[in-house]
Amino acid sequence: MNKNRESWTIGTPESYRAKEEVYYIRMNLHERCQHHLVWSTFIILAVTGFMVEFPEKWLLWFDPYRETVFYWRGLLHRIAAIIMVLNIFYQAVYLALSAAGRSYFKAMIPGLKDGKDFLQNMSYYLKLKSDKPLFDRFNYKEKLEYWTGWIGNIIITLTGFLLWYQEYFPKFVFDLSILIHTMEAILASCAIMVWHFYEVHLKPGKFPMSTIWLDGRIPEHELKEEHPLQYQHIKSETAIS
Amino acid sequence: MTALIYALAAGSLLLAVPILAADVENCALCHKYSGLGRIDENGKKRLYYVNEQLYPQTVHGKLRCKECHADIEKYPHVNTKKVDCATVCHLTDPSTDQHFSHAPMIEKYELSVHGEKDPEGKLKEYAEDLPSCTYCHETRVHQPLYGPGREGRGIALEILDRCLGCHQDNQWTRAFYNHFTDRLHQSRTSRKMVELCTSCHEDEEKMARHNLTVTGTFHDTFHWQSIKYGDPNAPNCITCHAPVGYFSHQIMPRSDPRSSIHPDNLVQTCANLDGLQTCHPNSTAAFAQGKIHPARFKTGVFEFKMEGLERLRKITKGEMKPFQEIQVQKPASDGMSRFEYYQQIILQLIKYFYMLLIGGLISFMIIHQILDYFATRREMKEGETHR
Repeated sequence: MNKNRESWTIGTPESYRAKEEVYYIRMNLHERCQHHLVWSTFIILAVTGFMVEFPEKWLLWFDPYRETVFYWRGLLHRIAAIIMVLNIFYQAVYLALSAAGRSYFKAMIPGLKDGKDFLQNMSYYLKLKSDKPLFDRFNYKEKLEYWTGWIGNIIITLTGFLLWYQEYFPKFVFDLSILIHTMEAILASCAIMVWHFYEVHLKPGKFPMSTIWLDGRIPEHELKEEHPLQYQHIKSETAIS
Repeated sequence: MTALIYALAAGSLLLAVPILAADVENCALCHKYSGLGRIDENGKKRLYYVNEQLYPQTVHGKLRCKECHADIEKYPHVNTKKVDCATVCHLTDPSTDQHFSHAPMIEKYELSVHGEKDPEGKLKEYAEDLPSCTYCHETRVHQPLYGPGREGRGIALEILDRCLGCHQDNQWTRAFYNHFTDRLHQSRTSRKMVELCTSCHEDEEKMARHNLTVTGTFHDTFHWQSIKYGDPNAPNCITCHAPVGYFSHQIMPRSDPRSSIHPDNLVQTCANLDGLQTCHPNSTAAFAQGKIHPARFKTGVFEFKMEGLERLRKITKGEMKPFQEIQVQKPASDGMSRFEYYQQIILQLIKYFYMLLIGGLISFMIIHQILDYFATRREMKEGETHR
């Protein structure tokens, strides 16, 4: 497995190549499936959605297939939306029913520690403090992204369905929905591009990307550095047993 | 091969059309020269050229010049009047055996919101702003339709052949075919239709003179987006303002019960069950209400690109207060009910809330990540020196 990995990672750090490197599972199969469904549908939804707002000049790209493009735009947007909504239910069922899901959910609950971590991290960034906060399984950045993701998803799903079945609701609901749907889409796309893409793609040491989303494994040294509390927890648990 | 034969046949038919067939007065003697024109007393360019190839292909291609330019008696032409479209011409309308005239159409049109006279027959204020026949009906050649099966522009020769089986005058049959199929479709595209209507209805000064508000936000609607993409199902101005059962020459104000956008008729208009387009077949009274393209209250998202900058410039200059457009519109004007007015204010507030949220949150994220970038670089350097 390790050998395999070497062949396609470019510029792997020394520690990766060491045979004794231990990996931990950070995303299990369910979580990876959910992530794949989310990112693929999100890209389709964002592209087909913002196509409605394209300036006229850009539409020249589609000539002479504008009409066909428009038809498929609407259809793909709806298909991707349904898959994304089903994925929300998949995630909810997974969180509620499986042991792994429940522990995931528990680790995701925001607490006072996250506020403290944030403040300490900011002071660390500004060189006011020399120590980084010790993060648990999920740090405040991941929690912020996860929960804003949930809220945004619910809002955009609701308004999306109101737009789909616009005829059964008053026109004011339609006006509200189209405004919120678009604004939420802009917010989500910008947030993903700034927050998430930096964290897992552009951050020094991560470029071109962290591979956790593909194989779900995090190397020990990375876990120790990024999620020290979880690492300690795992160590103490295994020590007891 | 068949296509080639058709193309050749079409070419030969085109050549067979005699140039200015109806020109018994020999007007083409002078008017066939493309330079024929002058600059009139008001400095306006006037062109008197008639294209000999195109004219016979137009709607009026079979008419003698003097049918319309009736007051021209001698050369040089002096004191000529504008052509009156209500002139009775010497053509006989086969359906009534009477001389043909556009007068009945103009009578109806004069009663519509675009007509120059009010119901009492008095000239309306600023009547010169109102569109005359030629404002919309630009001189144009026939745009015939392909027959059943493959829809499109052009002449279906297999169908023309069937007509020619009985109607043996090639030129007459062809003109009739052209005329008939030209009338079967809207020859203006939806985009051109919107351009035509908004040429007046987005002119703020002109609309203010007539106590109307501009169609401010049609370009923000999904209706326009689908026109932009050339969706055949997209609605243009006429689709809603003169749907099936109404008539584009008889557009009435919203307050008139004969108007397609009168509150009582809106459900039917949005449903458009008899129309060629599938619109909102399940529309309810609650859905079919309110303003579709209101002025000023822009809720579109991407409109803030240029206008936002303009607004910012005005605010910094002190010409405008921030958030001014929330208070600017009085509920009484524009036929907007108090209820609708507050709805628009809610929409505006939500828009501002989101703009602040997006601006604030994304700026926070960008700053956070930039700090993180420098901290990580620092860490990596420290790591190297430790090693």
